[in-house]
Amino acid sequence: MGSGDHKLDALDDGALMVLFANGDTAAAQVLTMRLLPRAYRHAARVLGDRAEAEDVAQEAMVRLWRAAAGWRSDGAAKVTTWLHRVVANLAIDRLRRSGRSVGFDEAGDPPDPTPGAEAHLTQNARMAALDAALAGLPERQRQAVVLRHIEGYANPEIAEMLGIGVEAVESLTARGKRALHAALAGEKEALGYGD
Amino acid sequence: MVTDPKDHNIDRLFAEASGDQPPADLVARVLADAAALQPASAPVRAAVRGHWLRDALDAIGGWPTLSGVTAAGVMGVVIGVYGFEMIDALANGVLTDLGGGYSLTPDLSAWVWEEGNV
Repeated sequence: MGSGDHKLDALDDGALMVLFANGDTAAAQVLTMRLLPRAYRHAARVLGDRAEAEDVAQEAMVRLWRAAAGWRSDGAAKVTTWLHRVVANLAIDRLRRSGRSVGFDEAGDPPDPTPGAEAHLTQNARMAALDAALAGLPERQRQAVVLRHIEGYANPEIAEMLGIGVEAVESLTARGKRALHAALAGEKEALGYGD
Repeated sequence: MVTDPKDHNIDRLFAEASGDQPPADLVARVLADAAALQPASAPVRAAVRGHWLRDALDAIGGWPTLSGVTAAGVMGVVIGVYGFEMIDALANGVLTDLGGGYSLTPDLSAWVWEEGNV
């Protein structure tokens, strides 16, 4: 998704926040194109529900627009860190309210993501399989795996997003990936990755 | 670096998930929120310094302000410096006409007349 505004594309997120607060409408477009996909994917993989993910991503972006007026472009905070922290908290709130939250101690066997007898899944179905496997992970583990392996953030950034230590992030991502392996074991053919 | 073959499929799944994009209607809603919440445009004027007189005039509202509100003050100063008669003469009697034919200075003739009768 390109914004079409090459001058703004060269600016970092913090500078765009300041421009947005000063009434620059193009800054809103660039920020949306950059940040909304990240917020949406984060919410979608953690919640495993697209409609809820849309609500969370939209609410997180509303908070972003409201935060723009007080944003300091020379401040230490990164916009992505701030946004993912908001998404993480909103998603956890929803999981807990709906009773779908899985705590550290209550994580049992991941649900079977096998989609019946179908030999191959569509892309949506593969994402559903991934979501089902992720749903079996404890909240923090799920968030850490998504932020590390899908969004590609470094462990120190994830630590800041989740408000935990870097060592904890390393542990969460390692254990989370092992659990996903177990959940998706034997799904090579079903996932459509036949090689 | 040797990749664990077990990681291959799950890494492909992660890569596929990283390309997941928000639906167009969500993008539209977020942009609508941005438009509704964006502070009113407050364009910053270019910081180019002009002539000192233009800057001073801009500070008080420009030429219209000077010509309207301050004209009376300017005229007062001019009359004080050059004298009413000279200015009136240069203006072809306009000032006298504006005064309805009366002098703008106090008419003391009646006071002198009364004094003479005492």
